[in-house]
Amino acid sequence: MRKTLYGNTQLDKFDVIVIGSGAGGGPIAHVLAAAGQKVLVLEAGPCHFDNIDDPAHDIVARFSNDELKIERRNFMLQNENVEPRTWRTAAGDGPRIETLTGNVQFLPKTVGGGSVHADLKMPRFESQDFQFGTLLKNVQNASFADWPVQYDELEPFYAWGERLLGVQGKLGSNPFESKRSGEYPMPPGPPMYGSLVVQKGLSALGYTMFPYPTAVNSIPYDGRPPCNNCGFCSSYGCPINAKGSSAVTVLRKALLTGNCQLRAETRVVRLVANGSGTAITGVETIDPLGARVTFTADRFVLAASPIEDVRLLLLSGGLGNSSGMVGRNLMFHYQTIAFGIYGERVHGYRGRAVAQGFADFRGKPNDAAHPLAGITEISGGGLPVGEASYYARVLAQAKAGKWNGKLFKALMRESPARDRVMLLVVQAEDAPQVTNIVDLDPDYVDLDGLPVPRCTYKSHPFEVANGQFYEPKLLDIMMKSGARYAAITPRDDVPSSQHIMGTLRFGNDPKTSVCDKNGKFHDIGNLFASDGALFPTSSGYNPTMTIATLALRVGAAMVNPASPASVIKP
Amino acid sequence: MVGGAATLLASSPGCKGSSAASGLFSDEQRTALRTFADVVIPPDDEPGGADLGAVPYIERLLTAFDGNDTPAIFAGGPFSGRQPFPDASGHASTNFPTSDFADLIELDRVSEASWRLRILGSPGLSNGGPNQKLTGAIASLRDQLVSGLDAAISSADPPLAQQSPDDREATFNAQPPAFKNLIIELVTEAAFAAPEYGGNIGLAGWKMCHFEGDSQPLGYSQWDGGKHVERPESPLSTANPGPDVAPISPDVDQLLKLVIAFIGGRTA
Repeated sequence: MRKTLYGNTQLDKFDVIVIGSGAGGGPIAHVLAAAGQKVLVLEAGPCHFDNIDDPAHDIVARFSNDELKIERRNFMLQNENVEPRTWRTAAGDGPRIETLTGNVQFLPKTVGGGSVHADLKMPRFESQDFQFGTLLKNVQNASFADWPVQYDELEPFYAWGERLLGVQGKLGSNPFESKRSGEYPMPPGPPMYGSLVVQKGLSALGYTMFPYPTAVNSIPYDGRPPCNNCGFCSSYGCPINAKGSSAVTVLRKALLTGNCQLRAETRVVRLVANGSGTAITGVETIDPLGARVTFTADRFVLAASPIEDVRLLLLSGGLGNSSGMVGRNLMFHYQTIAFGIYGERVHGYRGRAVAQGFADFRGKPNDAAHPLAGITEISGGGLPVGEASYYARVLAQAKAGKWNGKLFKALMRESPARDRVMLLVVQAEDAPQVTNIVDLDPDYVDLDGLPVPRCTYKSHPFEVANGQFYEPKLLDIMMKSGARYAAITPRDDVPSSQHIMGTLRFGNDPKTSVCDKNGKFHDIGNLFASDGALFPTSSGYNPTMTIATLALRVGAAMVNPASPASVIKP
Repeated sequence: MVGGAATLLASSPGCKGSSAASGLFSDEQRTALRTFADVVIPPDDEPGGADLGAVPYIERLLTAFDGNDTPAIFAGGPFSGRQPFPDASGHASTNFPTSDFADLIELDRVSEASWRLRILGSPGLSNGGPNQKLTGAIASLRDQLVSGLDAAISSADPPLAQQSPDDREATFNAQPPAFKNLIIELVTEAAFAAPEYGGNIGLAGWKMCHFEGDSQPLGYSQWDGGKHVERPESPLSTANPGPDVAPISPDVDQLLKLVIAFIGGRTA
C-alpha cells in the first residue's frame, strides 16, 4: 500500500489548508505550523521522500542517477497525455495552436514541487527589480508594475529563507547584487572545470564570474550532507538530500512540529465558497484512489503554481476576480541560450549543473547600452540518452532524414554535445502583458474530466530586442574562451522556461491587482496566494528564492499582520 | 544471437518483478527488431544496438502491464550499488550500497493511467483516454512497433536476413519517419540508460560513450570533513588526466561545421 499520509495523521480540524508543497507551499506551512497553527498540506503528486515525517531517521529519497526515469519516463513531471495543457499566442489563433505540449507544463507534481527537480539556483532579485512600474512605465503594451513590497522590506525574509533552505554563495562576488545583511549561510562549493574554461572568455571581455547562489549544501548543514557533485542535478531529485528542496527543509520541519499533516496524491479540484464568493469554506479533492473528499479550514493558501492556482479559481466558478486580472500577466523568463563546443573534454556533465554565473547582462532600465536582460548561468552538457536524441535530430536535419549509424556512433564516442559543450543561459526580464493569460481550454480535459489550463502567451518586443542585443556578446565569450564552435540555440515560440510567474499579481489597488501586499485576495478574506503567481514583474534572476521569500512573508503576515518581520526566526 | 543476448541478460542487473517477455513479438519480428537496432547503432569493435540489449529493453517496457507485478517503469533509488560510499578521507571505500535500482517504484493513480495509455493505447483505459472524442483513439506503443515491424518485413526485398549492412540501413531509412524515430528512440534508450531496464548490457553503452554512469554515492567530489576531494581519474574542477579518449574525427567535425553554419553560429 502506498503511503500518502504524513505528519500528524490524527489531525482532523485545520486552521489553514495549503494547496501545493513546493517552493511556495513548504515555507508557508513551516511558518504557520511553527506558530502553532494546525496545517493541512495537500499535494497532487506522490511523495518520494521516505521518513520525511520521521524525526528518528534521515530522509531516504527515491531519486537516483537515472536518466531514463527522470528525463524520459517522467518520474516527477506532469503527464501530458492525461494532464495536457494547451497553448496559443493570441485569441486570433483559435482555441489553441498546440495541445499536449510539454513546454508549458514542465513543473513537477511531487511533494516538494518544483524545488525538487530544480538545481536550486537561488539568487535574490535586485532592488531595482521591484520598481519597474515606475522605471518602465513607457513600454507600450506592457503592464510593468511596482511591487507592493520593496527589497529593503524583503531583505530579512530573504536572509531567513537562505538559512532555512541552506544557500551557498559568496557575499560581494556578484558586483550587481543588492545590499545583504550578512554572508551566505554556506561558502561556495567547488567549481566545475567547464566554468573555469568559460571564465577565460569572461575575463578577457571584462565580465565578472561569481559562484552561483544555490540551495545546495557545500558543507554539512542542517542535518543534511554536502553535495558530492554527482552530475544528475538539474531536473533530478537529489539522491542524498544535499539539495535544499522545500520537502527536505521547511516541509519536514513543519511535519515534525506535530501541527502539520501532509496528504500526497490528493489533488484539489474545487474551492468551495460561500454564497457571495467572499470566503472559502472548504476544498473538494480527489484522493489517491480517485474518491472525492472535502476538507475544511478557516483559511486557505494557493501555492500550486501560477498556472494551477488560476485553473483552480476558474474551476471554482471564477473566484476572486473583481479586478478582471486573474490569470493575466503570465510571465516566463525569456531565455537566450548560447552553446560552445570545445576541442577538449570539459566534462560539464559532472557537478551541480550550474556552479558559476555572471550578471553583467542584467542591465538597467532605459539604458540602451545595457538593456535589461538577466543573470547568465554557466551550464554543462546533458547526459547520454538526451545526447543521443539530440544527435538523432541533428542527423535527421543534416542528412535529409537518412539515418547514419556509423556517424551516430562516432558522435556518441566523441561527444561534442555532452562532454565538450558548455552553455550560457540568460534568464531575461519578461515584460508582463495583460493579454498573456491562463484560462480553461474549452474542449480538452484531464484524466478526471476537468478542463485543462490554456496558456495564451506571446513574447513582447521588449524582451526579444534585449535578448538579441546580447546574443553576439554571448558568442564573443564562447569564442574568447577557446570554443571551436559557438551558436545561439534556435528558439521556439512555445515558452520553454520553467520559471512561471504572474497570474495573481499582488498590489495595493484592488482594481489592478488580485492580492494585497500580504498575499491575501482583495475579494476573499480568508484566501491567500504564496507562490510565483504574486509576482507583478519577473526580474532577470531565477525566481525560486523570491518565491520562498514571499511565502515566508505571507505566512508571517498571517501570523502577525501588524508586524510580519517579528515572526522571523534568527 | 538471440541466445547470446538472453545469456547476457541473465547476468544483467534487472529490476525485480521484471522479466524478458515472451509472446509479444514473433521470432521474425524480434529478428527484424535486432536488425534495426544494429542499424541504429552498428556493431564494430564494440557492441551494436542488438547486443546492447535493445530487444529485452523494449519487451520489458511493452509488457510492463502484462502481469500483476509492479510495472517495470521506474527503477528505485537512491543507489544502484555500482559506486561505493566514500571513506572518511573522501576517497572511494570498499563499502558498496545495496542496489535500490533493482526495486521497482509503484505507480500512482495518474502515472499508471498515463503509462497504460502510452503502452496499451486507448484500450488500456476504461474511457479510452481523457480526450479520445477529440483526438480519436490513441494507438498503443505495442501496436505501433508490431505493425511497423510487420510492414518493414513485408516490404524488405530481399528479406532483411539476406541484406548487407548497407542495404539494411537503406531499408531502415525507407520506413515511415514515425516508425523510424520510434526505433531510434527506443534503441538509444536501451543502449545508454541504466542497465536495470534491460539494455546497456555489461555497461557497454556507457563505456562506448566514455560516460562513468550513475555516480552516487561517490559522486565527483567527496567531503573529507574539511574540504572536497576529487576523483583523480574523473576530476570535477580540473581537466581530465591523459590524452583525449576519442578526439573529434574529420567526419564529426564536418557535421559540426554544417550544423553551425546552418544555425548562423561561429567557427574558430
